[in-house]
Amino acid sequence: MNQGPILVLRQILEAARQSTLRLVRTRLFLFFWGVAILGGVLLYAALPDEELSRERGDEFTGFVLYLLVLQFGLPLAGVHLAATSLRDDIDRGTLGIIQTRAISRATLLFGRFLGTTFVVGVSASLVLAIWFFALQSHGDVWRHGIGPENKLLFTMVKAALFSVSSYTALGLFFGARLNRPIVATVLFVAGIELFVSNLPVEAGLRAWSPTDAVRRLLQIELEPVAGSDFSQSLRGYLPEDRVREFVEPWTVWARVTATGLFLAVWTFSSREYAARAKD
Amino acid sequence: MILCSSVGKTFGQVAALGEVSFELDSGVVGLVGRNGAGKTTLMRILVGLSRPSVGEVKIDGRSPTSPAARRLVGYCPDFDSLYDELTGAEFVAWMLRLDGVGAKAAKHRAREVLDELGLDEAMDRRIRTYSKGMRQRVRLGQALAHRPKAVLLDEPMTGLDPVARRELSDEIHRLGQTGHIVLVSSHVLHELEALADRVLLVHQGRLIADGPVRDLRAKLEDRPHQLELKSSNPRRLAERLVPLAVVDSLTIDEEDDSLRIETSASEGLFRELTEIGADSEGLIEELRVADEGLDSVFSYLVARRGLKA
Repeated sequence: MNQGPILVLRQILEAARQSTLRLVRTRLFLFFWGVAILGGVLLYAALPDEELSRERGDEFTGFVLYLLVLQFGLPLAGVHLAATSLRDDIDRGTLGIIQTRAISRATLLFGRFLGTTFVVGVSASLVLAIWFFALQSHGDVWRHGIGPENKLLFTMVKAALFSVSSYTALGLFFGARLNRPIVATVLFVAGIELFVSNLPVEAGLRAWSPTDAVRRLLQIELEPVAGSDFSQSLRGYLPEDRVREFVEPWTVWARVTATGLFLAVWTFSSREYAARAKD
Repeated sequence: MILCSSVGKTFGQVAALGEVSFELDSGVVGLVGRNGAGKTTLMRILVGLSRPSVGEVKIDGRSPTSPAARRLVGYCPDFDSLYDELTGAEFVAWMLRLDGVGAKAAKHRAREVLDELGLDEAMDRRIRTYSKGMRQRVRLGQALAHRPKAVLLDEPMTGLDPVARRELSDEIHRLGQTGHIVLVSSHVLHELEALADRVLLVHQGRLIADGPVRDLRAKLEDRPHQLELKSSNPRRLAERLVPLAVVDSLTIDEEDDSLRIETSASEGLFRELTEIGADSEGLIEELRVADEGLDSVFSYLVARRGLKA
């Protein structure tokens, strides 16, 4: 059998397929999205109708979807599921068999990257859609009876699919490097996604935070009403008039994803994983 | 086909393997050593899971980490590592598909190899329902599925019941006879005695002997041997043997009507025993070399080299 690009492509797709099937069968992603949906339900239930009626449908829906899915659910699910897709094989010892197959470590890792990105991206999009249509169906509740517009959903899904690969690339690096990736996941979300993405622009670090890129993308495309909760959550500590001066979202995406993938491939290719005796 | 040149491996300050060299071209080869001797480290280096600190390994002239070399080698690890949620057939097919084999061909070959290994009825059940022996066969199946030239089996008998051991031994024999290189490691020496054409003895990370079992024995003629004799009259037989210079020590077991003799000159003793047997019919009813097993060879070699056992 030759070692040509067709074979490598086939191996990447197979590694992606296996990764997808294993993630779906473990149903671990349901935990993250279950928490996100439950949080949204509680938030919605806690607000009385008269308060909701003072909100515009797209403002409230945008705020809830951004906060629960894009700000917390997606980074946690993306990083943790990607890390687990490697760590599980290391801990079980199955990596000791997989790494003796005729597939290079880089090819295997890239397949895992695609598989995890697919599962997390699709499931995040479904959660966004479920929430969006649930809130849209209550159109008469909102101020002037105007529910969220479809453009909001499309932009949210676009932002989720755009940022998920950055999270899974970083998650694969954590899985390849760390014994307890869940700790790194939490530190990453708290440290990079919440802290760094709110640093003053002059610190020069915000371009390393995928959340910051998501916020800019949403601001540019949705242009939320100034002063609303949604606008405030997207701006953080940024001055309203300087939003368009910052690094392009796609530049941040390319930088974080490429760095995460490079570190993951380099670590996974150079590290020796000990055999785990379970007999 | 497998060339191991001065391969050594250190973990920090600990030398797990020191300058091991050998070549494997055909047949069943036993890799023998006690727990912690370096067998698994050596196996992992041979299949490219671990890099040697010094020296190199070549599989048909290629690095063991290259996909081309991996197509030539099958590896059955010593740890239980399978996806329990899959069926046996699915697991083997998944491994084949990672090699780049198409879905249909992988499925067909997985079923074929598991059928050959006696998992015909169980291959469509989830692995979590399998016994240890069945799990071992799935691991072996994935190692054989891509029809490799060499198969490396790390402690394959561990945890198997006698029937499963026998079946696995038969399979290893069959592989050896069909032109495969089979490297089987074990710390239970007698397991390999009947299996291997050649034995590599490893102790404390060093290769202390390499050769066919019978050659090893021939080289060890000068070591003390223990013989057990059954006799109708053990006291009378002892009277004949005690004066002989070739007998180092002698113990009588009255209950069992037997004698145990230790000698450093086994050939001379055998000559004397032949004469005694011819002179006095029935005095020697049975003769058994008590320490012909690999265990004693191994212990002797370790002691002769001044190594700590």
